Amino acid sequence: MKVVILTTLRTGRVEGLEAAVARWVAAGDHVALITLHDQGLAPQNLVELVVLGAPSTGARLGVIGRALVRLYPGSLARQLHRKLQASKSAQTAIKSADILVAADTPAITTLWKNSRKRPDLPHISGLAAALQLSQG
Amino acid sequence: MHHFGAYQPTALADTMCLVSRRPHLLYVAWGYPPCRGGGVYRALATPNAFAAAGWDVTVLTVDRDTFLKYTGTDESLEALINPAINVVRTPFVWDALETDIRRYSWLRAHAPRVWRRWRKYAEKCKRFPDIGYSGWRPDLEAAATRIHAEHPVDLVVATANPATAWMAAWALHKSAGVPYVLDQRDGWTLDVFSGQRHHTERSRIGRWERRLLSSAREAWFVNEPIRTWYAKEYPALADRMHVVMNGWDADLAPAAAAPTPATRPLTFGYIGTISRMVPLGEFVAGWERARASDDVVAQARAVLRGYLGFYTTPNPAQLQLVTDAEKSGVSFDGPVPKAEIASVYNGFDVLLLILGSGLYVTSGKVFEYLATGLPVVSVHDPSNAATDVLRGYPLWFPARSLAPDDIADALIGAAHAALDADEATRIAAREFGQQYRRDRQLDPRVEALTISAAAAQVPA
Repeated sequence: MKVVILTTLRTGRVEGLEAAVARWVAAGDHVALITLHDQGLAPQNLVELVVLGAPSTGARLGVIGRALVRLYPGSLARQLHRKLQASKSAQTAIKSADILVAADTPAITTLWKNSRKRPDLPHISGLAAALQLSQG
Repeated sequence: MHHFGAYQPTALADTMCLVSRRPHLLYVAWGYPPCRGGGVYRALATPNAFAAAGWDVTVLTVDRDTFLKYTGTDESLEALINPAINVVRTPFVWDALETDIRRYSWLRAHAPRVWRRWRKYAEKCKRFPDIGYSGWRPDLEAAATRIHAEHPVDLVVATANPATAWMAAWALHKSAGVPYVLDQRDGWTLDVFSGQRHHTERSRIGRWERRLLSSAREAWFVNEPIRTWYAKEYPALADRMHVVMNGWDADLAPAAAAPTPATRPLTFGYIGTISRMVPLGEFVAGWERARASDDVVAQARAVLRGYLGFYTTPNPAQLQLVTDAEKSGVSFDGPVPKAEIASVYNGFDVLLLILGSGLYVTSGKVFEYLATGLPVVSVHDPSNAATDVLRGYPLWFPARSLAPDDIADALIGAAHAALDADEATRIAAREFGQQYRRDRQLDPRVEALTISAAAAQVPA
């Protein structure tokens, strides 16, 4: 089984990532992580890492803009979606996935869009839920 | 035929012969088999006890799918439902726990915070303040009304959580005057961990609690500290308040250990839900300290069995914690179906009672532990209500505090007792646990309610 995890966070900041990846790998699954950031430690057992590149800063948005982005995380989700579309290796990983996992909120938005095109493929929010689905 | 948690009718059988028809109990519980939650055993045992005492029993609960999707299931429990019980299931939607992104609305996928706030607001606008569950109320009330129309109900026993379950009792009481028992268990407005009120008397929940308690035939609580708290809050209703402790189930509990010494290497075992309230980090620190200072514990292993959190989806923080603990000789071996629990206990030499803190916290597993007659190490605040249950148990080793040294002392003491305690002490430990059988907790209430139901009927 190929598990593809999508996140905008640095790998070290994704809660439970290391434990989840270890369990998938122990079960013989192939795990790919697609992220915006190349900073932070990737889990040691990770089979495939796709870094899309850091997002543009929100500094120019001002106080009100940043507050709105917190409520409506469209900006980061749009960037993630755009970068995902532009990355051949990310597209290859997603097309070959058996299960797609969103590890944060902007990733949920991106996977929701993807789920409209691939309704047959499990699109799951949260690592623990994906572990539960894949390993029972 | 012996049923799980069976109530053995004696003089009541004669009382039941005098009435024109068998009384009909409607038992309302959200968590009912195959739900695997800790509270399910009480929900399983209570209607079984009424059925064994001669009642016609209907259980009103939610669809099996609810448990398959959200809480996890233990299908072995369904076999323990008294076959005479009629189980009616209603739909239940729990959208907050949905993890399948394909089922999300546009708003939830694009603006989850807005969606959450909108959802919370919509729940608040409903007539009953039970966030997450109040959507169950219309189906529940409709089902209760239908059941009563088909087969008149003499008594409703409704158990939390969730409090929405009580609304079936309230609906039948308002429309047809059917008496009801509120099985509050831990209480609604009381925070059992802090001992403070969750909700003020004037809040919607406070007002609903007073209203529901005022009309109840009885209210049940799981321990005396909670009953005392409620009796102080509602002194006029104190005589209706009773303690129905959880107890251990004779058909499911482990057999008491033989009164012989254990052999090295020892196995320390924990069985139960590992929620965020369980001080697992403190236990691991104490375990490491004990291994460093005692040979017996150094050679021993600790096995944790149970779910990580209350839902099907494991809590990520708890998952990380148990993964980290593996380095210290602590293994996490996942949940145990209740029907296999006795064989798992047989593999343990010492039991670990790791509980969240709070004067009002008992936990159901303390009773099951007592059924084994094994040494028990308490890793919880000494003021915890479980202390009252364990006080006097001959093989009890409470940690003085949650400091690593105190936990280590308790672990070392229990390890040596497992090896060296004399036969008389072990036999005394087995006998101590007998008083906490679940049927002994339920008997007085089933008997009282059976007599009052019989008295309310015209003699045959």
